[in-house]
Parts: sequence; structure tokens; C-alpha cells
Amino acid sequence: MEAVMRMPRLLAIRWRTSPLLLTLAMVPMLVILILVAVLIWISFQTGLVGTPKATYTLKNYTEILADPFVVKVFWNTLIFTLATTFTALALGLPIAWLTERTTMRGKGLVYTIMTLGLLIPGIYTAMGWTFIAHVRIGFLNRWLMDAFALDQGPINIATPVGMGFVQGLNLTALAFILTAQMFRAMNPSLEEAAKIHGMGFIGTLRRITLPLAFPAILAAMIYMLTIGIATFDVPAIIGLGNRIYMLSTYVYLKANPPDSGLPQHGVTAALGTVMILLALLLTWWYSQVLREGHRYEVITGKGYRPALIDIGRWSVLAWGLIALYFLATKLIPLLLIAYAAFTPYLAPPSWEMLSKLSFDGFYNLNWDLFWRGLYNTVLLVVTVPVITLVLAFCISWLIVRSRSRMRYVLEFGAFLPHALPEVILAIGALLLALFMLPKFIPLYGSVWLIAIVYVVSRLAFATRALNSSLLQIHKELEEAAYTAGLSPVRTSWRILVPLLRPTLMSIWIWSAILVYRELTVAVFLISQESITLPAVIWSYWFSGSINQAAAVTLLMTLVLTPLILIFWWFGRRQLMPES
Amino acid sequence: MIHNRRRRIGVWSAMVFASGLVFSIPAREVAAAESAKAPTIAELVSEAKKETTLRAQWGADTLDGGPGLQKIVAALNKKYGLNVQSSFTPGSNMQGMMAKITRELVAGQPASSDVYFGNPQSMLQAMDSQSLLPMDWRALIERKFLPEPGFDPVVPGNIGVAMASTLVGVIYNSNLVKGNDIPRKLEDLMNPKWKGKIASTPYAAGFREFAMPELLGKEKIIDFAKKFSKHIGGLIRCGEMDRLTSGEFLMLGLACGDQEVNMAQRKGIPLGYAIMNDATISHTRYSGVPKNSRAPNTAALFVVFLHSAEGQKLMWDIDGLDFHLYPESNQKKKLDAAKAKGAKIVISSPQWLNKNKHYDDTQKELEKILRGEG
Repeated sequence: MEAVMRMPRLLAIRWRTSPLLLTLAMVPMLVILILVAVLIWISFQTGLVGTPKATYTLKNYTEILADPFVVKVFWNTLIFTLATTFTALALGLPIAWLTERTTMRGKGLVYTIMTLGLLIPGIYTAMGWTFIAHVRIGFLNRWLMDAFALDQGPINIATPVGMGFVQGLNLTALAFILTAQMFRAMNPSLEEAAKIHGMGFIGTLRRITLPLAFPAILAAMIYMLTIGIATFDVPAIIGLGNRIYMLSTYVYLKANPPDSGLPQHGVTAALGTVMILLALLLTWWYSQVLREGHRYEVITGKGYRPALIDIGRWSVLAWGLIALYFLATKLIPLLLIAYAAFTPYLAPPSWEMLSKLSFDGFYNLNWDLFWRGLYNTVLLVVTVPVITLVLAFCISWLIVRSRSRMRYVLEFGAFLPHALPEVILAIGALLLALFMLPKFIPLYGSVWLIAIVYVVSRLAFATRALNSSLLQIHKELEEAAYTAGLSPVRTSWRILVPLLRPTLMSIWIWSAILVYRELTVAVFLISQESITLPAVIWSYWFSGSINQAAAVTLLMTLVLTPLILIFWWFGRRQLMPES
Repeated sequence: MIHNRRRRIGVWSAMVFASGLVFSIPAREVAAAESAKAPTIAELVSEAKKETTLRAQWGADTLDGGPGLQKIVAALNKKYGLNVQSSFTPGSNMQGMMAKITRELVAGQPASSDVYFGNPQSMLQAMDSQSLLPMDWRALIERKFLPEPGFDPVVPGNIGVAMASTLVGVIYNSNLVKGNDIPRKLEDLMNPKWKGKIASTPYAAGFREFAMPELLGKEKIIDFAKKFSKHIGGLIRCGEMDRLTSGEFLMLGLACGDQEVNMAQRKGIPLGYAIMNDATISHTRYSGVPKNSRAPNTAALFVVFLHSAEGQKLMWDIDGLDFHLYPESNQKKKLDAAKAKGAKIVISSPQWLNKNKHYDDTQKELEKILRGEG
């Protein structure tokens, strides 16, 4: 008994005597704070920003708030974000419900398709959908024009709603993952009671199931709204050439003007600050919804298995919906990208064009650029997840195990990147490296600058996952190890790491894949030496070499396949309910 | 307007001056820049042998991107006995790249591109920002330029030199725009059948020059641009030919030049080119060496090499460009033909732009209108 009582003191001592742990945990917090501070500071400057020569002013804010064009950009972003969220939930929610609450067969395959959906880069779907539904070149529009003798294609994805639809397809898998868990754990007693009292299927769905699921749906909705505000790839691929600007692309153009203007760092930073406020507001709402979630008791007791709804022949229709999703987001875009990669020049599919298919696009590719992009991407894929894991482990351990008030600071700091759009962190890092870091820290143009931003932006997810897993490991195990004389590092290595292995692997693979497909941060920070593969695709696309962009996308997909298979193997085991 | 221009020059000068004070450009780069001021070819070659890589960043299609750079550097190595590697990364447009290089110079960072390739507008920027190394280009270039009244190929201050020229007009998808539909004058672009189906550039290529008093004048072009902005379907950059061949846009009006079409037609790609009867501009392409270049000697040799007969031919082969001040030039034949037809022609240069004091403001106004903000 005395030994048990002594343990908290022992931990407290270790906490105090572990400056390395505290330092490692505090470094990313400091980086985030510096990046945000740089952004806010520069938002009040004009002239030679970031130096003593800068002039302090509110002009950047008055310029963006008074400009009707910026109001239009905000309006576009709002419509785009709402359309994104609506599409993702309209598809993801029914698929999650069908998978978790019905007798539909082939659930393993559904999880495979949806996992694949999480991994495919957004740029891929955006390019594919340009070929499908662009008002003039989309084959769907051309088919409709031929079939109904129309002058113009009836579908136009180059609108905020159209782009929101495409981004919604990208986020459908995320909506599925976010809501499937809730359907899996939902207590069916109220539904069963409704059934006993003669309520029909639709009535039960409307009055019982959906209200019970409301907090989880709302949380998923807010999460996707936060992502939508900062999304870059779909608005850039589809919107830029068609003069449809979102906040992310507008910020990009202010930092990299396509016209004769000079980069407007002050205005960029002011826009970034407004985006931070928006994202913080959404995150506060998100946390409120999560806090109120306990009022909706949907979690069953241990070993409880909810009754499944027999959908009989409707199963065919359900699979039709899933197949349509797979075709629309994966298969058709991939086929069209492959077509574009093998054509000598981009033209609508026809027998004549099919006869011209060749490997010339690959022979003429700038392979030096491809290998540089691949090298940097692999470097990031290997290092970023490891650093993220180490830092997240330190932070989570301190949050869960220590009794210091410092843990609240760490918890807030670790969650902060979730509230900050990646584009903001990227701009902060660019300005910091360009104007403020001393010469002996040569981060500008370096791949490590990108790595730093990737690490801090992944911390929220990694610490959340690790916190939950660490809470499930009783601290007696660690205390026993300390009593036996093991150091904190050896205790972590011998006790915690083996027990946390599934979570650590899941975080590692998930981070690796996000790093592999990431574009938003890269487009702001790349240089000759640090270009990544998604940025190679973007640079080809942006300069009009669509065939070459398609060729690199195809190569990237091939390289991504083993990663997808590994993720699928691990991820499926994590996501799938026990059968 | 003059006041604005002076203020802009003042700000740029202050930025560059401050860069020296605040960021103190590394001594090695300053030394490299100073040593490259008045060298001979032999000295450049000798110094270039110490440089390992020529990094270049410009549009993916300019000079055929990476493969084109490799070919030029291979020829350069052969001609001067060097062993330099090339490294190409697609970059933004010419003015965007000049802004980037200047920003890097101000921040004391090495330039993203060791050699710069740009247009008269970006050379005007470079004159303001002083971001390119002054070199005695006339002495370095082995060939004599043909005389062209009112046009000096060397940028004031010797910070760059013209190396190619191309005529501004309209590029169209020749499968979809044929016969009488091919535009011959600006008003033809306003045909209702093209509404929403044609594109322009975000930097108002061609229009910005057409708006000068020597050509069509500001009032006429601004009025046209306001109508044209509602007529076009989008904005694309000059090299984005895939967006024309795909049918996404049927025409690009006005384009920066005809080099993409020269290349496309050799490969059987369905693109055509039309020069407007109203007027035309011979767009000039310049190059120079950024002060913060990591390989300034190789970069200078790169520029000199592209002026040789071998360099001009290579440039024509890989990018459909050459310089009309050389007798064998293909562009010279086109320009002479246009002159023979009596077209109003201006050869664009930073000197000409500098003479037109409203040029900057007019370009910005046109860009805003074309973006849909005006």
C-alpha cells in the first residue's frame, strides 16, 4: 500500500527531472506560436516587411475588408465550403449507415473502397473531374451536348458549387470514417421501441436515428467546414483558370502574383489572420459540440451488438450507390488521367486520338525533376511521421501522465494546428525563413522548412490518437518499471511502445500518406532543391503542360500503391468492426 | 503617375539598399557578382569551370523546360569545355520570376534561377530593382546585330540583352476555328459565338502595349477590355496550349507570341496563329544574370551562347524562337512580311515601355478588368 502511495510522487519527480521530455514537447508549441506571431506581425506592415524598414499600418486590413472583390472571394469560399460539406455528408453518411446498421453484404469491400478514398490526392480527383464535367471539355457535357443537340454543356463544375461537389467527393471517405464509428456504437433500444410502437422506417430514421446521430454529424460537418476553408488543390485546378477565386487561391495569388504585381506579403498575412479567426471560431464550435455530445447516449455497453436492419433487395441499390461513388471518384478520373498521359496533346477522347496514344509523354518528361520530386517526397515521408510520433509521444505522455498545470498548455498547443489552416502555417514559415531567420539557419528553400510545417500540422491528429491510447494503459506498468530501476526512456521503449504499437503504426502510416499527397504547404514553400512530387504535378498543370501533369500523376499513383496497401492492411484492422 | 513611378523606383532602391545593410548578402555572392562585372569570355570560362550546376526556373514550356535546358547546357559544355549540370524547375511567369528573384536578393537569399529569361516588362522591373548584374554584353556577344531604328537590344545599365523576338497575335484551335472564323482584327474576338469560349492572359499580354499612344491608345483598349472581360471564359498563361487543343478554350487573345504555334505545327498539333490587322507588336525576349546567382559565370556564358548561330538554331529547334536582328532569323522573315503589309508595328523593349509613362498603371488597370474586378 505504501509503495502504491509513493508512485505519484515518483512520477512527479520524473516529470521534474525530465527536461528533455519537456523541451521536446515545447518545441512544436514554440514553432506554432512563432509562425502565428510572424503572420500577425507582418499583417500590420507594408514596404520592406519583416525588417526595421517596414511601415506599420492597418492598410492591409482596410484593403481586404473594403475591397468588394475580397467580399466576393469570401462569398465563393462560403458556398464552396457548404457545397463540399453537403456533398461529403450526403454520400458518406448513407454509406456509413448502410455499412454499420444494415445487413448489406460485402462490408469489408466498402471499408477498402472508403480507405482508398482517404488516400487518393485531391489533385487527382480535381484533374479527373475537369475531364469529366468541365463545361466544354468534360466528356459528360460533350455527350449531353451531342445527345440533346445543346450549344453548351449543361453541367459546369467551374463554379463554387461545382468545385464544392468535387471537393465533397474527396471528403466523402472522411465523412464516412467520422460517422461510421457513431453508427457502430449507437444504442438501438430507442429505435426498437419506436418499431414496437408501430413507427415506420422513415419515421424512425427521421425522429430517432438522425436526432441521436446529430452531434456526431454536426461535429463531422464543422470539421469538414474547417478543411473546406483552406482547401487549395480543387479550387486551384478547376477555379483559377476560370476566374473563380477562393480564399486559399486568392492568398496564393497575392503571394505569387500571376500578373505584373509584386508579392503582397502584408495583404497575404492579413488574409491569413482573418482565416485564423474563422478557423478558431469553427474549432470553438466544434469543441462545444463535442462537449455536449454526452447528452446523446449512443454508446452501448461492452459486448453489446446492435440489431441490424434487414434491407433485403435494397442492398442492390445500396451497392449501386457505392459503385457510383467508386466510379466517380477513382476509376473514371484514373482512366482519364491515364488517357491524358499517353496522348501527344490534350484533346477529347476519340478514335483518332486513341490511335495516337504513345509513351512519348513519358520519354519527354523532365526525369531529373521527377526524381528530385520523388527524392524530397520520400525524404519527407520517412522523416516527418517519425518526428511527429516522437514529439506527439512526449506531448501526450505529459498531458496524460503528468499532474502539472503545464499539461493544459500542452493540450491546447497540440490542438492549435487543427484550428490553423495549413496555408497559414506555410505563409508564416515562408516569411519567417525569408526575412527573419539569421543566415546560420538556412531554411529558405530547404526541404526541412516543409518538414517543420508538416510536423506541426500533423500534431493535433497524432496527440489526439495517442492520448486516447495512453489513457487505456494503466500507469502501474510504468511504475513497476521505474521501481525496477528502468529510466523513463527505457520504460517508454520497453513498456509503452510495444503496447502502443497499433496506434503508433496507424499514426505513422496515416501521417506518411498525408505527407505524400500534400500540396497546399508545398506550393508556398518549394524551391529548386525542395520540390515535392505533388508540387511537380501542380507546376506542370499551372504552366499548362497538362499531359505531363497527368504523366507524373500516373507515376505517383504507381509509387503510392504500396503505401496504400500497407495502410489498407493496418487501417482496415483499425477501422473494421470485429466480425 | 510620374510621381507614382518615382516613388516605386524609390521603394525598390530602398529595398535593395536595405538588403545590403539589413541582411548583408553573403560575401561569397557579392564577390561573385563583382568579379562578373567586366570579364572576357576566357575569364568567364575559367570561372565557370568552378561552377557545377546551372539552376533555371521559368515556365515549363519556355525553352522547352527541362529537356530544352539540358540540350542548351550540353551544347554550352561542348563549346566552352565545361562540365556543368543543369537543373530545371517549372516556375511562374516572367514578371513573377523577376519579383521572386528580387525578393530573394532583398532577403539575402540565393536566386531561384541562376540565369534569368524574361520579357520587356520584367526587364523594366529589373531596371527599377537593380537585381541583375551589369555586364558589357556588346563586348561579350561575338556577333553584330542588324540595325533596327528605335530599338536597342541591350537593356539600359547593361543588365540584360535581347535574344529572341516573336509577334503578338491570337492563337486558336485550328480544328475548331476555321476559315472566316479566324480573327483578323480585335473586334472579331467579340463575335457572340465565342462568348465564354475564349481566354485571355492574367497579365493582359498584347493589350497593355496596344493601349499605348503609338498603337491603339488607352481609351480604346480600356473600353474594349471592359467588353472583352465579360466575353471571355477565363484567364490562362501564354504557354497553356493544352487548354486550347483540348477545346477548353477555342482561342487565346492576345497571346505573348507565336513560338508555341511554331512548335505545335511541327508536331501536327492543331493550333493556328493570326496577327491582328489593327496593329502588332514584336515581343522581345531578354536574358540576364541575377546578382544573387549561384553560377553567374555559367549564366553569362549561357546568354552569350544563345546569341551564337548555333545557339539561335538550337533555340529555334527547341522553342520556335530566334532573334530578328540576326540575318538568318525566321522571325525576321515574319516581321518583314508584316511590315510589307503595312501593319502598324512596335518593337517592345523596356526602353519603349519606359518612354510610355502610363504603361504600368494601364497594365494594372487592364489586369484588374480582365480578372473581373474592374
